Parts: sequence; structure tokens; C-alpha cells
Amino acid sequence: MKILKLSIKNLKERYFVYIIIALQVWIAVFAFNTSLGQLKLYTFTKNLIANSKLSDSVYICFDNYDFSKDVELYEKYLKKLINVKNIYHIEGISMFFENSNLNFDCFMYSDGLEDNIKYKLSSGQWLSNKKIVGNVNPVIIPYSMSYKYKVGDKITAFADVEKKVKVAMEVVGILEKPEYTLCMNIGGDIDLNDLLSISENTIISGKIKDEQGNFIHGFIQPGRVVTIDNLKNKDATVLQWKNELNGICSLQTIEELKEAYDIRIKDKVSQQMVINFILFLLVTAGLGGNSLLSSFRQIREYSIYYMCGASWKTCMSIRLITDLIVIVTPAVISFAFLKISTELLSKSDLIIDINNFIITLGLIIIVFLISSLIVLSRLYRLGPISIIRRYE
Amino acid sequence: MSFIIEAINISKIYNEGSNSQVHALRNVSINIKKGDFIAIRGRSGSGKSTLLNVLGCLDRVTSGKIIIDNIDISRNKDKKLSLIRNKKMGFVLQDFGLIGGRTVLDNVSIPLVFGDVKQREIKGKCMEALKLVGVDEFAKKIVNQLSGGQKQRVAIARAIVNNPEVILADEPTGALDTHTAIEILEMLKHLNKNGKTLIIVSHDNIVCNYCNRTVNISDGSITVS
Ligand SMILES: Nc1ncnc2c1ncn2[C@@H]1O[C@H](COP(=O)(O)OP(=O)(O)OP(=O)(O)O)[C@@H](O)[C@H]1O
Ligand SMILES: [Mg+2]
Repeated sequence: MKILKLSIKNLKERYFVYIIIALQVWIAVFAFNTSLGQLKLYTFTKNLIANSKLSDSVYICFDNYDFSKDVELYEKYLKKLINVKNIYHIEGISMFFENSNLNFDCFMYSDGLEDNIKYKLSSGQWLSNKKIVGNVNPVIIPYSMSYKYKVGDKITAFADVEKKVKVAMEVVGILEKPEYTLCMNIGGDIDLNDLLSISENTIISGKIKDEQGNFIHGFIQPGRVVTIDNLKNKDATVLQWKNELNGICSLQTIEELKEAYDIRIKDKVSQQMVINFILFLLVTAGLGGNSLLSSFRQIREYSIYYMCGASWKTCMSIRLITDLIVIVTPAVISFAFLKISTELLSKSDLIIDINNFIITLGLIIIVFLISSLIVLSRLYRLGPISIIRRYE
Repeated sequence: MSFIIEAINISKIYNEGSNSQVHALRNVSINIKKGDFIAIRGRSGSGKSTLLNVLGCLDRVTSGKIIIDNIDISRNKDKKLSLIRNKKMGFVLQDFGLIGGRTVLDNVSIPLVFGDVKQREIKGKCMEALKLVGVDEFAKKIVNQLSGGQKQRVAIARAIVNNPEVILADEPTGALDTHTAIEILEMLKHLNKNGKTLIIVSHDNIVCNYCNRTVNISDGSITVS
């Protein structure tokens, strides 16, 4: 209590220095968390690919065809792919909630695909464990909808603008945040970033039946076609496919996608990551220097405390508590700010989590401890009386 | 055997083992009785301050014993030493050793804050001490706004606020003019008369007129006691 009071007195007396230090802590936490967040996104995406069966897959992007109009043509082209056992697609459809004009996307995975792409769930079960019972379709909702629906909740929606085709759904699982769903830009190149992009407004399901028990069809968009096969001679086969379908579609393996992704990452994320990391280093170095200076300015005060009956331990505690207040307060605010702003602006190309924050805080505290120790060891070496005289 | 402080064969070596090793005290023995007014004299660098610091538990001896109230404290832990400094010792320094940016009251209260005095008693005790040295009117002033003599009075008030038995003063008049120096010495003498034990390090010859014992120290050893 006494120590806390003295620490606060200390803070008040040198509030200007401490405000600067607090700002530095703020920036350091911000920069390092951003940097780690980007690193995490990168590894997350890589892991997602590595852990799913996507690594066996080949992605097909039909350049100029919208197969929603001509399913037969689509099938005709697919037949040209020799040796293919498993070919999957994702149909997309826009639906409307029953009681509002709000719409959402529904991605319907063709049979078996959902087994190959298992996303992490925050609760519930994955689609492949659930079947349609009584025309109620099992669906997985994104994390952002979890404030509204829980596992077991029913959602009623319409699959058409006129609100005639009614669909009953049951939430069986909720995706982990961040939310990654397979989606692709129409006519665009296949890009891993798109493939695994985040969508806050997308429900995942298998095939969907309406109330009458009829299957609903969506749009098979270019790029949302995936073959997953443990091909013996993958490279040769893919080359053959590419020749076969030349001019109609482009094929890419996961390796090619990864390569493209890596180049993109290097251009975009890693650059920011490095800049943020350098910013963190600079600010932390400044922080250490600042803390060192401010401690040196206080060394005389501690000597006087010591002379008047404070032990070394008490002096160190005062220093420590002052430091902790100066570090933890802005750090927590900074982190909360970062967290809230990424959440609110759904600037979801970042993963901000508490572990990164704790790492940052730990690093900053170590920097502070070292600078405090340097100062206190000087106090210990010279003795309080020499200090009182020297720092007059 | 009622010595307040007893030093037996103490030595102090700074930076022992390194190139910059200094043998500041060599086998010094000294007894201090309750009510003594002792002056420690000697040339610059002879080890006066060092002696005062180890007697006041501000620093540790390299060898020998320091006995305070019949207890050998030379091997005591930091916490116990700080307790002794807090309860039994009051320090007065040449450059006052005050925190310049704080008020007089703040400065004087420091020993009470680290002791076990209740929060609501602190102010009263401080005012009492300040009244005793005649600067109670400056209680709310910032230390930096005071003159040298006033600062030293504040420092003395701080030294006596916890009612210690011993006051250790390292050149308390060194930064003051003769007139003010005499005022300060009179005050210390007055404290001595009221039962405090005083140990003063000083170059100043006038100090000898006030004390009842002089210890001369040369090159770390006591020459005349
Ligand atoms: N903290 C320290 N570290 C290393 N050497 C020290 C330290 N303090 C004092 N000394 C050395 O110990 C010796 C005695 O110093 P001390 O301060 O006791 O002398 P003094 O008699 O008080 O001198 P002065 O009259 O100048 O104050 C000196 O040679 C000094 O350089
Ligand atoms: Mg000296």
C-alpha cells in the first residue's frame, strides 16, 4: 500500500516522461501485435492447407463459362479429365432470412467435399456427421453469426427473391474465428487468398432440400471446382489435363497456388510484418533508453529512501510497481483498441489474439526490468551516500 | 557495557579484488556511548564518511563486528539493517540529501512512511520536528525554494522525526556560511543535551568546541581517540 502510494507519487511527479513511455508502450504493443498477427495469419493459412486434404487437390478455373446456365456443358468438360475419381464443386446461392430483408450466402459443398475440407469449429459438429432429416438441412454458421444463433437453433430462409422457396436449416456447428470459407472471384484467377478468404456472411452446407424435399441448385462458379485425388502421376496427369482443356479452363495444383500465395505474401504481408517488427524494435529500444534515463533520474530518490530506512527490496518494489503501471495500463488499452478496431472494422486480414499480447507484454517488461536492474545495481555498487552527492 | 554502537576491528575494502581496490578502513575499533557528541576528523579521503556509513548501517564492513544494542549486526540481512536505520539512526548530509521538487512536509515524512507510523499521525509528527528546528512555517514550501540553512534544518527535522537515538552527520556545515554553520551546530548541541547521541564528520575546527570527544582518522586508521 505504502509502496503503491510512493509509486503513484513518482508517476505524478514525472508524468511527462511517463506519458511518453506510455505512448511508446502503446506503439510497441500495436506494432508487435500487428506483426505477429500477420505472421499468424500466414502460418494459419499454411496449416489449414497442410492439414486438410486440399494438398491432393487440383483447382479448376473455367475461364469464361457460367455453368449455372448450362450444366451439361460443364459435365461434358469434366468428362475430359481422365483418371478423375473425385470431382467436387461448391454451389453458391444467395438466401433471405424469413423475417427480414437481410440476405446471406449459402455455400453448398457437393457430397464428400465437406469431408476433405474440415474447418475448425468453435462449437458443434462438422457437416459430415449430420444428414438431412425431415427436410431440415444441417448447416455451419460463421462465428460472426454466433451472437444470434447457437448450435441446435433453427433458421428459416428463402432461396429466391420472391420468397416462395422455403428452406429450413439447423445450426450444427459454428466456425472458429477467423472464418475461412472456400470462395472464388468470378472470372478471376484462382488465388489462395480467395480460396481461403474470410466471409462473415456465409453459411456452409451440403446439398440443400427445400420444404417440399426438392434439391436446390446454386451457381457453380468458376474456380469452385476442385478435384481431390491421390494421383499416382500427378504432374503428368495435370499436364495432360491442362492440354486437354486448354482455352476452356486453367488448372492449378495446390503447389502452384502456394507459390502464388507466397509471392503475394512476400509482397504484402511480410513487408508490413517486417516494417511493424522494425518499428517494434525501434520503439522498444527507445523505451529501454527512456526507462533507463528516468530510472537514473530517480536513483537519488531511492538512495534517500534507503537512508531513511527503506530496504533494497522496498526500493526495487517501488521501481517495479511504477514500471508495471506505466507498462500494463497503455498496453492493455492498446491491445483492447487493436482488438476492437479489427473486430468492428472487420479488418480481418489480421489475427489479434491474447497470446501475442502476452508475448509483447513479456518482452516489454523484460526490457524495463533490465533497465531498472542496471540502475539499481549502480545504486548498490556506489552506495546511497555517493549517489545522493553525485546526482545532486 | 552500555555502548550504543560498538565497532570492533572493522575494515572496509571497496571493490575488493579489482584493480580499483581501496582499503578505506583498517582495523578500526570505536565505542559510542549514549549521549556522546563525537567529532570524526581527518584529511580528505582518510575514511571518515566510510566510518560514518558503516556505523549508521548504510554500508557493510568487509571484516570485523558492529554491535548495536548488544547485537552484532555486521552479518544482518538488508531488511533488519533498514529497520535499524529507520528506528535508531538519523542522517544529516553536507548537501542536505533532500528531494528538491517536493514539499518540506513530504521530505520530513519519508522516515515515517517507511516506519510503522499510522498515516494520520504522520503530519503531526512532522510538524513537531519542524517546530523543534524552527522551520515549521515552511512546511508547505517546495524544498528548492529554501536557503541552505533552512534546507539543513529541514534535513535535521527529517533526521529526528522518527525519534532516533543516534544522529549521524557528514559535514553538516560544509555547505553553509560560518554564521549559519554555528546556528546548525547550536541546534545539534541542543539535541545532544536532550539525550541524542551525535556523530559528526567535519573539517571544521569549530565543531570541536561543541563535541565532548574527537576521533582522528588517517589513511583508514584511528590515530587519536
Ligand atoms: N563507493 C566507493 N567506492 C570505491 N571507493 C570509495 C567509495 N567511497 C569511498 N571510496 C574511497 O575510500 C576512501 C575513503 O573515502 P571517504 O569518503 O570515507 O573519505 P572521507 O574521509 O570522507 O573524505 P572527504 O573528506 O573528502 O569526504 C577514499 O580513497 C575514497 O576514494
Ligand atoms: Mg566524506
